[in-house]
Amino acid sequence: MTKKYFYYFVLLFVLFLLQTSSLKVFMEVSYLVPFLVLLFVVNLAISGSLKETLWFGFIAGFLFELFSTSFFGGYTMAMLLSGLLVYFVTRQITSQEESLPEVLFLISLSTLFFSAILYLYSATASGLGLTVYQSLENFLSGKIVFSTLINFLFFYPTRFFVKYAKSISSEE
Amino acid sequence: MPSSLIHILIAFLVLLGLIFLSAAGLLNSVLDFGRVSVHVSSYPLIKALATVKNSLLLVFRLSHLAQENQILTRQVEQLSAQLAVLEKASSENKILREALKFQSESKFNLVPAEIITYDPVRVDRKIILNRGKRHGVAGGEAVIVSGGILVGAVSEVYEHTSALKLITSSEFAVNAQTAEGQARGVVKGEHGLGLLFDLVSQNEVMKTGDRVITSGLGGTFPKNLLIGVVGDVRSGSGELFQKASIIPAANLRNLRIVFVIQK
Repeated sequence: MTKKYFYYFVLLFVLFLLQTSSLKVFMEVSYLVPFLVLLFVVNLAISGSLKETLWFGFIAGFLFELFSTSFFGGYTMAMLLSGLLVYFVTRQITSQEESLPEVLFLISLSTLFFSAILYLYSATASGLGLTVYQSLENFLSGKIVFSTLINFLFFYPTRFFVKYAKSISSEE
Repeated sequence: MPSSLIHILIAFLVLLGLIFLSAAGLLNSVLDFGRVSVHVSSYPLIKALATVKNSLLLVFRLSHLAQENQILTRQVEQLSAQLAVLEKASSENKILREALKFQSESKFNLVPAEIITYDPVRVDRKIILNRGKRHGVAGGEAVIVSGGILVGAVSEVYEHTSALKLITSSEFAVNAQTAEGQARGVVKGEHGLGLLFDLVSQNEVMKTGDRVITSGLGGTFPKNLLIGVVGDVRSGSGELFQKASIIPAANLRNLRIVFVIQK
């Protein structure tokens, strides 16, 4: 169990580095950079336990707080809630292998929900005078369609690595 | 309470705790350390991704190469035209500088003039200058270029312009001699095509390459103005005088600035 979590943590960190590096290099088209960390959490939510979803979602959100320009806690909150949402939705939809439309639905839901939670958190914090108000366009714009499609494209490669990490830890 | 619910509660309580710590400024050092570590760790990835980006950009740019080529070709054409204009300006600049230097050094009273146009109809080709009576030009005055080279004489004068009769004109004649003074005669124009050194006595010596200058005889033209050099000498025992073709010293096809010697 510990080894599995270790491999999960390494994979999460690598995906995090990959995503932040891509955002730096492809800054002009940031909406085309896949949200690899969210996909990792979504994969855990689909195939893992609630505890794994919860704590790895927490760690993933905390990693993003390092580069967040808004009030602390937004990314962590959004990642936690998105992971939980996907977890509970998948428990209702199916317990078998997900179909493509289901995956597309889950990706769209998690991407939109993540951005919405971020906006609400930021708006609440600005309402309490803790930060400056940021408009909705900063979180939810037309480009989210591209983000969703890119996330969908990268879902299965991410899933492969999550399953691989799980399999090598179980073999040992 | 189910354990899952406990975990959710703990997670949100921990988050709340961290929020308070962050608001109190106690998490800053942790976040700073994390940022530095991530920045160092991601450096090789950034380099690799930058290479990928440059390769992708190259592929996209290929599609624009044809258009860029067209734009650049047009720019080259424009710049070539500009270069031609600038070269012409540079050449004119040089001519004007030389003319200015000559004017300041000359002992004559000179009126500088620019060629306006050539008369395209007459074979003898009169040239129009941009100086006339108003500028002190009078009929019959000698016209030279820098270096003291005779190119013709003023034939007609108007208020603002005047006509220059070239030395190669059939109507032109000037008393001349070789620079060494051994041969004297008259230099005449030949239908706009060349010069003839005529009426040179048979017992006077001239040879190819001798410089021919004005002699000043008759008072029409100042003396010692260079006309040209002797070409072929034609001398027959049965003839009274010997003749020679003269190669003009000035390029009469490319006159730009001339000087009228005021009497």
